[in-house]
Amino acid sequence: MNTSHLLGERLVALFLLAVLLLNPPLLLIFDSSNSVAQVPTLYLYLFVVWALLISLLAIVTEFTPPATDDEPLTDDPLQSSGSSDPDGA
Amino acid sequence: MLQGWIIIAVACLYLCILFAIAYWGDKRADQNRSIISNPYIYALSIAVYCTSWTFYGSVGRAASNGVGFLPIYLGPTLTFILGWFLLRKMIRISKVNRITSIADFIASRYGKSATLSGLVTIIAVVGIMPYISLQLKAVSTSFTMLLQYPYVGSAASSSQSVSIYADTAFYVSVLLGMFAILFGTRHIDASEHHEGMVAAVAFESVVKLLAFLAVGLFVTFGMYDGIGDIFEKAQTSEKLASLFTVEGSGGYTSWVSLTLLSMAAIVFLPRQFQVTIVECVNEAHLKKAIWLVPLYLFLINIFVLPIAFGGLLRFPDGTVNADTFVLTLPMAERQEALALFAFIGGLSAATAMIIVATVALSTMVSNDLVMPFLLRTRRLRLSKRGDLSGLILTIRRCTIAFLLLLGYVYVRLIGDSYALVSIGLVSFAAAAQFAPPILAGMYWKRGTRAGAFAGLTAGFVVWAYTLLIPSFARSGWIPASFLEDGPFAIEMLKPYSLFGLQGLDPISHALFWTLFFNAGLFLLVSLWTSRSVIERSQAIQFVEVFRESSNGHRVWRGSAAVGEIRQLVARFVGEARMQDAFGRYELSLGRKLADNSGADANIVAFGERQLAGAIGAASARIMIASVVREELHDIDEMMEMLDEASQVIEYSRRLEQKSRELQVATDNLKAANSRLKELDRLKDGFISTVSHELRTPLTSIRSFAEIICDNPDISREERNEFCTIIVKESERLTRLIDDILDIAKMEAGQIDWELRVIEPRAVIEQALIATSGPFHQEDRKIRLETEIAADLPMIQAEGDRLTQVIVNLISNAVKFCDKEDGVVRVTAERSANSLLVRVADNGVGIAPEDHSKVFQRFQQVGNMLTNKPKGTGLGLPICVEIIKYFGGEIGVESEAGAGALFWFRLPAA
Repeated sequence: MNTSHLLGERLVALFLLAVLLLNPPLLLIFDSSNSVAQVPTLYLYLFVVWALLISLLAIVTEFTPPATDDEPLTDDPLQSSGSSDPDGA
Repeated sequence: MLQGWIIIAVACLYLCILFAIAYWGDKRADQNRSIISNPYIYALSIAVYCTSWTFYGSVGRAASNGVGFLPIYLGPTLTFILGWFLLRKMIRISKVNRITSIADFIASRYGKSATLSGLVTIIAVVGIMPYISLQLKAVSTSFTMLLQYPYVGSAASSSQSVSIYADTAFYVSVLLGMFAILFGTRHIDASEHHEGMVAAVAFESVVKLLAFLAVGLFVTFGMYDGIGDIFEKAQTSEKLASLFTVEGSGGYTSWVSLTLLSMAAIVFLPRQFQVTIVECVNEAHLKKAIWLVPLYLFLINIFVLPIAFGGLLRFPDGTVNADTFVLTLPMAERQEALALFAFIGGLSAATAMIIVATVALSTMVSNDLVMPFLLRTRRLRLSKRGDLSGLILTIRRCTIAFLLLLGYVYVRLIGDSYALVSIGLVSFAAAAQFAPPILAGMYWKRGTRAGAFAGLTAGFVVWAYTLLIPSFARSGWIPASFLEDGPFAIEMLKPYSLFGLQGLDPISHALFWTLFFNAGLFLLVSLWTSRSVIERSQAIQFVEVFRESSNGHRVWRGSAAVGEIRQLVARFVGEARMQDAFGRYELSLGRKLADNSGADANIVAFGERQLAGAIGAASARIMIASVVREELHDIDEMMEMLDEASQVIEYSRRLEQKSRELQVATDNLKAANSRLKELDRLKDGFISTVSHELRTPLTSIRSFAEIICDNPDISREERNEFCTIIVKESERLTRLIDDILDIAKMEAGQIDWELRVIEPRAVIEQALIATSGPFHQEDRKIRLETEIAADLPMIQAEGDRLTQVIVNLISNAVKFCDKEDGVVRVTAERSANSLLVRVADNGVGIAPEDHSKVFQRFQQVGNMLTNKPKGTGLGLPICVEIIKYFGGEIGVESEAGAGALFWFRLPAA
């Protein structure tokens, strides 16, 4: 399995999860004037979910094995220009 | 007591530290020991997203809208989750194409169009400039408030009443202008990094975060007993408790549209593009930044709600503007140092934004607006002048000064009015206009320059109409009736409910309409316009940037010498940098490039990229075009390439055809071969049959001749009898040989036929005469019955041959007819425009399974061993050949024991 794709696919899944969690209709469940531990439910929910998403994001990016297929481009302008085949023949 | 001079001294000290850090950063960069080349600095620099609008404004928004401020930070979190696709691709594209700004990016994607880059620059300047003013305003307001320490209240004087010399905003503008000029325009190559600037911005991000957290901790735990305590107290007030739900915070529509808006803003605001894409040192840093940036946003927002509610509880009468809570709460609690720290935090947030935004905008203005214009103005003959790097840098420096001046004038002009406060989101909406052409441009090749231009123009016009002009109206610059009744009292054109769309807050409303027109026109026009060659090649470069091959094929060709390219690059980036760049290029090629040798496509592209880094893609293209002759050359070459491709296709098509033909030929050969084998077999059979047939009469002749020879004393009668037999057998032998020769000739096509139109009656009668012999023999009683119709058609045939056929048929009939009472019946008639001749006998007949056999050679029906053959066995085959040649058909109808009827049919002539 191509690990670079694996990271991308995990991130897309996380993105979808984030969109679901941070928008209606799931947001409606917590949109009440009740409080949990004195903190309004909505506030608590949003910040907990946010923190959770960031942790997941960190875990996914740090622990998915590094990409093997495409080397990250360093800031050497020659890397993109010098190696190409002259005339594209 | 907080003295004015202390504040000024601390602020100046802070700015000095900033200069020092920037200087140090650049120094290290020059020594190749970059301090910004790590993901943490990179992430912190992206946090320039949090301006003073965040630092002060978030609390203000939270105080009036509850969680309504949060989507502005949740949106970027969403974008960064997708950053591995989106941002990485943008970074890669920008590195490959040496993109210097967001205008450059869009223009480069759509065929390096100078018009498009100019349009993007104008949108960016109009959209962002007021945002810069907001930062200046925030600094001067916070300074004025702090001066009043310990008095807490709305600022006593608006900036309008202060003279320029006493106005903090003015000095801040001047100082920041100096900073931006010093550290933002050190190099001509804008695609390289402003390391000092980035280092300073990262430092500022740390300061503002710490300051905000300090205030937050103080308010939460110093003034109250933790977060729960604040909310519990707020719960008692009905007005505050209403902020606990989304409904009291602006509603879900606003929630979703703000999320979308900020998702776009975190990438497409020019300053964000600058730090995230252009200043990115290493693509790998992105991986950590993906979660570090959201983490930063999370941290800086944790205490927004506690501070907002703390402030609302502390100043219940509403005398203090919620936007200033971060500053006024420490002041009200007599925390001098903390108030000062908060002020510095706000200052850092504002200055970071101003610096990056002005540098980004100045690059855009110089590269994408001024330079293309100057280069195109022939009168200036700029493209022929010497070193231009100084000129470009001057343009950039002037632009920075001009932008800050404009920002400052804007502050002075509109003061505290609505326009300034709302400008944050208005700027976001302007930046969101870049989303359709960029996102579509990165993943969809069909998007055209005309489409991007139409979409951006429409989006910009609608944005100005639904957000910018109304903000002027609310500031009192134009009559309020413009907002309430629409222009010229046209209801449908009311800026906040365009075309009757009501029930949305102004931002959601504008976001919908701008994107509707922007994306809609972009799609529509793109699908109905065609792309030029350069647009196609750029589209491929952008969309397929991760594919190796996409960099290998340059469309751009022309005839230019390497020396000319060198010279051109040197004029814009300076001799030393040019030598450096080309030196490295030669090193990577592994060969020296002679000045007078022809520049191939890759060298031209390399030169163009070097130029693009300095003056933007659009200008670089203009410049390269001035050196590389034959602009249409590349199209010719394209056609040539196409031609080659089609030739290859044609060649392979021909090969395929050849092989198909070969296949057919092989099949034919195989068939011919098997036919030959068959014929060979037949020939063997034929020869053996013929020898057998010849031997029979020969044997008979020889036997009788021997008898006569050996017995000289046989009777005269006997001798006569034997001689008669010998003569008859000889005749039979002669006939046989004649027939064999005949049929062999016919089959070989060696007979010269003389076809002519003849009257069949004569032929038939002649045949009857020729065969009349047997009917008059006395030993056999055979009757001949003839019935020849009067209206026989003329036919095309050779008379003698046709006679031969009829004679053969009649002879056969005579041979096989009944021994006792033989009847042969010959009829001829016209039938369906053809001549039909029938010859019937009343003999033993032929079984149906033998019908086809009788027409084969040497096949006589009946037992050949017991019955003496009555003919040569070649009569019918000869008839078949002749009739076939005349275009007719021949056949037999018979049952065993019921006589046989042979017929042939010849078409009328």
